Amino acid sequence: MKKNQKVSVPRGSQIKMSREEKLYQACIAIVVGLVTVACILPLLYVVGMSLTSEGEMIEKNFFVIIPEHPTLAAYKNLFSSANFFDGMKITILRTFIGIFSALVLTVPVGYILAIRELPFKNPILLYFITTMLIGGGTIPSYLLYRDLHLLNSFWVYIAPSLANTHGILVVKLFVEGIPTDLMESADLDGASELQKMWHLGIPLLRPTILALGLFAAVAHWNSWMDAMIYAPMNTKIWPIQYIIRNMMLAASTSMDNGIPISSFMKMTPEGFKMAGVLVAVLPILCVYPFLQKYFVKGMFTGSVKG
Amino acid sequence: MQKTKKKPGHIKRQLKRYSVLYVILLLAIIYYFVFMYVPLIWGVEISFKDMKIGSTIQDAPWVGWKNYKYFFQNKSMLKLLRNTLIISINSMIWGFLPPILLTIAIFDLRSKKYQKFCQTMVYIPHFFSWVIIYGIVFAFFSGNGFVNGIIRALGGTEVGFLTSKKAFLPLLIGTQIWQSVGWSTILYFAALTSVDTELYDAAKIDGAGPIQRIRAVTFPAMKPVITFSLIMSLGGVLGTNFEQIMMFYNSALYDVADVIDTWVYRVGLGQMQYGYGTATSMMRSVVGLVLMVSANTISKKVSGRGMF
Repeated sequence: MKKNQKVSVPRGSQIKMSREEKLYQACIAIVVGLVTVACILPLLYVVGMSLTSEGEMIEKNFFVIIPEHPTLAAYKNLFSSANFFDGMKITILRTFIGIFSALVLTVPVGYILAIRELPFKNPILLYFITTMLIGGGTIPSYLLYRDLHLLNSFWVYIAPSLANTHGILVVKLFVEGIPTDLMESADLDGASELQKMWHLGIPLLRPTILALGLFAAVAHWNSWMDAMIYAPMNTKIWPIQYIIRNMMLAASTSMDNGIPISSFMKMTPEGFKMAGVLVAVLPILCVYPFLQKYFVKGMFTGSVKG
Repeated sequence: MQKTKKKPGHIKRQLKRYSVLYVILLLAIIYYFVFMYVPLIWGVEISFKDMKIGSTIQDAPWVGWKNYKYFFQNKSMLKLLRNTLIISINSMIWGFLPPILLTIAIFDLRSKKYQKFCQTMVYIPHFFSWVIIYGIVFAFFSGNGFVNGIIRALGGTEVGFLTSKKAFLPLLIGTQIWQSVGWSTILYFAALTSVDTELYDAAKIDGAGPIQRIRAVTFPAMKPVITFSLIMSLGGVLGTNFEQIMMFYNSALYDVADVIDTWVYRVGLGQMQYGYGTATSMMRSVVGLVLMVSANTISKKVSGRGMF
């Protein structure tokens, strides 16, 4: 029983654990542990693959879990490619601008639609929500962006993302939770509605705004379909995910012609692909531990009534 | 609660008071009109027209229901519908139970530290793009991948999982579950944290074992959310994960992997079959809307919660 005393025990457990309960605890600890491992361990194999040299691959019949003579050739190749840096630049740029564009309309509109006595509130809300349920699809959007001269331009990543209807609903839900007397006290001070929103509403919304911004950032970091559909001709503005995707699907390993032959011999085609995957996922993994609680909070607020 | 007295001029006064805010709303309304409603209107229009390469929407001649009929008269189009349904129904069935079981297991863990740690870890795959997840799948299932390494070591012959029609669906569903199982627990977990702890104490004093406890306390607490997510997933039965399928499919797999979305992109847009493409999109959109709204209505009646 020594072990059990150490562990913090919830839910009134002055009563000893039954044998059944102990067995159950052991089972769920193992099951949850296995799921946890399954979520992370595959990435370590990917790391191993990216570091394996071609020589070792052949020597061990193409089955290496932990390379004995790791090589950085795949990463050297990746970093010596101009496409790779362009992709990174575009992705970083769109991520930062994307955070802003996801909030600039969403937050004020969500706040305004939470005002109870606003005339015509419900029809306006319906107007926004309808777009969540029905849309024209890819082809008319393509034609619209063509007419707006957005095709094959960087702004095709940003312009459509101003519409964040789910975000509007989350903000609205949050503002409705703010006590009304707080808002009314501002009325007594003679603040205008705009001042009220800017100085009272938005500061109170800070956690929600942060969560929405983070989700937008992740979405932009991971995005590549918009490049595939709406910017197929302009390779200069392809985001890193799309470049890695093309690398994955290509039979050959060359991204462009700048690959030095000597290091090409050392790495494996698979290793090169895996290096790309890891470089694209690393920033997410680095930021995640610090931002996890905001993500979960954002999901919570979205799911409570949403 | 005070009732607002609706005097004449009340609305006028409110409109004046909120005039600046209406300007902001107007901007959003215009933006939504251009980026959301214009494509919708165009979509409806093009779906009834025969748009040739180089012609504008206005110039194209009306053709009535021709583009819609094409869908039902063409075997290869019905295959799209079949593939879409097979994929989405399978992901509904296989993806349903794992997050519920995982939530119960995580919730019942004694050690709060271990619980927190595991929760943090299982959320991570949710933040991976499908490019990354395909990369991991590639590491395990490609010709020189992990699984084939083991097969060769055991004396077997290499299996081309990534181009196999049989392996496509399991890989698709498997990676979907891998990506979403942890994150989905948040929704269920939220329902459990609101349970009165006294119920658990009472269960304990009554000598209830873990199984009885789950049946009597935990599961009933989760039930409304379970009902909600089940019904809502029925509403999304015509939706497949476009991004995931674009990553996993290749020309060897069109027979089983080509769905409405991928066809609209590849043929509708790529080969400029705008009429057929938009008609197919519109049909999916309208049927999807009907399904979603009815699912929402049912969910509100049955579980007391809906999406909108």
